[in-house]
Amino acid sequence: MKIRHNTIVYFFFFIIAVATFIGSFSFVSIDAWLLPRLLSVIITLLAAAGVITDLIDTKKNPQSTQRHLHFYNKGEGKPLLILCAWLVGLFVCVYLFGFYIAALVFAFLYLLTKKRKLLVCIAFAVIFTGALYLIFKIALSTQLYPGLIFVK
Amino acid sequence: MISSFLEGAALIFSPQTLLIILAASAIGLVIGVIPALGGMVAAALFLPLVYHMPSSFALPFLVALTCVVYTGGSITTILMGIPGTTPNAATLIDGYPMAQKGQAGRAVGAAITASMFGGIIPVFLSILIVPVIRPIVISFKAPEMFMLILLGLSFIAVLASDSKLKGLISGFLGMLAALIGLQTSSGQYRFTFGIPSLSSGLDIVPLALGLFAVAEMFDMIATGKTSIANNTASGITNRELRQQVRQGASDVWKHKWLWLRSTIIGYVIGLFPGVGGDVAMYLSYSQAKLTSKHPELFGTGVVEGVIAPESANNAKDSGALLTTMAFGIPGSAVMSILMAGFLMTGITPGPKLLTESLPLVFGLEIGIAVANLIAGVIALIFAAKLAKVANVHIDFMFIIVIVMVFIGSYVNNLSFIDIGTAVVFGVLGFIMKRLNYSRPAVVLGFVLGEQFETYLWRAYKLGGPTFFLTPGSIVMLVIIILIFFAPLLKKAYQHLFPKKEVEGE
Repeated sequence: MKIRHNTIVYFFFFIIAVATFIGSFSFVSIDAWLLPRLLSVIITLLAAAGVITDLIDTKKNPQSTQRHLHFYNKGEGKPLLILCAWLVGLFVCVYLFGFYIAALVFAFLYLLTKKRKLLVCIAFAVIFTGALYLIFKIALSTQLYPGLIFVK
Repeated sequence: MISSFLEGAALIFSPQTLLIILAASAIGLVIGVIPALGGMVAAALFLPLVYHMPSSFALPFLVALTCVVYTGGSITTILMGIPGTTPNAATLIDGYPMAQKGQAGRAVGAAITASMFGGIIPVFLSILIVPVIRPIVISFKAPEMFMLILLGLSFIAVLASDSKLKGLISGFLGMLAALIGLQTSSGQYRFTFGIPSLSSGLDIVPLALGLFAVAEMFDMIATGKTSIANNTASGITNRELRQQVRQGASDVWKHKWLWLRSTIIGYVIGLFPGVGGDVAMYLSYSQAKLTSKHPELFGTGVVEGVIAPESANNAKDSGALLTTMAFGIPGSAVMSILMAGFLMTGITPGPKLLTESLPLVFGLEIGIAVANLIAGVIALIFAAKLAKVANVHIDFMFIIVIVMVFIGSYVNNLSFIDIGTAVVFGVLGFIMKRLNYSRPAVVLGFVLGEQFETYLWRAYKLGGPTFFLTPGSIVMLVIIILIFFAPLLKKAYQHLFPKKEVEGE
């Protein structure tokens, strides 16, 4: 029997709720533990109900083509992983080089991997970063993070 | 009252503020036209821009930006069959069939005109309603505030999602996320895992940016969408389109009572905390169908099916803003972000705002009207051109949105944890979107959850375990019980008084 993503997500929420319930025992005051316990019990019950109804439904209709049962379909896994990698890359780049350089590099490399013309990649990256600089630095006088290697 | 209104008007009608509203309206329209983005993303993305603005500019900017998004959204909904923003979905039922029948311009004209006036009239409703709600707001103490928050949470649970179970889980997950950080009445830190940045709790901005902006980017890239094509207006000449737009605008006048009813419905729905635009739109669509002389034609492309939801959609923002400002409780998920904007500019929404800063309250309500007027005029002139914005390639949109998400998340607290929060909630938002969980319910649960706990303990300390036995609290408690038991009561009623079958059926 193939388990649906829907069931797995219900189970994930169930685990979070149980962990919250256990974690709430470290709080001494009733002000601090009442709501976490209350919420975790409610979510645990709801998620458990979800898991059970979903498992029963899976058994009854194993080949159900109903929507909202899986959060990704065949062929979508790889682009999603690549997307996550881009986000992690941008995060590291911002941390090391700051927002402006990271935006420039990110825009250029992303468009380059999408097989855009080199001129388009350069033009977009420069205009986009320039616009960011104009808006945040010049117009709004906001100091964006300069990057670990540029921090004085 | 009148002097406060005039002071508010003076605040908005200064040249600089009008310019700010004009810019915000234009940006809001463009964001609304792009499917996947919406009021929530617009407000959260542009929040960093208002950090250094004085509140007299920042708040009209944010309010104008978020309230015109739906006007832009109606263009994409009608011309391309894809709701520009979630609350535009009801317009799709008749708007897109109209476009397919070659009446794209008429539908767009009707939608924009209905939206525009739907956003203007509520200002006058607010003038009438403020004197009524002011004494109520002032009389509200912690127990009543607690009950009002509970009422908002009840609405989320019942109305937020197609699946009640998922709607409830979404709302409670939002409340769970609000637990992170310092619990004020006990002074204890909860679920911070020793990370100092988490001691003040999660921030609403990265949470909303992740749940909506990042999640939508994930969704679009995963499905391999490049841009949205199939523009139904592409076969119509510009002249024909202009003529149709004029016809659509005059349709609103022909159906003025329907438009007025829908506007009032939208406004009243907006006043209830936690009730979103979807409810306002579908409710006004339903009443349009129920009161129509030809209900059987609804869904095949009738102009009333466009006018009703669009009027309600823009009207609800005035109501929601009034609730947000008067009680300090967000009237909708978008208002949660606006509340963050209020706090950021040093203004705390709540009863004091209604007593001490009434001109600002009226000013922002007038700001909504002005923004709707400006957006309506721009949209009527540039409808066809605006629709082309939706064809922006996902590669460029992804870069702009993601970089703005990173900046927007970071700027508030200058914390990298917030960027991480946006990414984590982005993944969660994507999963929730695909599995039909309610993401607005998470945001509302998050904001209301924080207030729920604060007022619970305040009310408890004020009135003991029976704190909810005040007249105002009891009224709200009865409403909450009715909300949850309405289906059961309906069934019981149908069982006790079964409908007599018509002969021959």
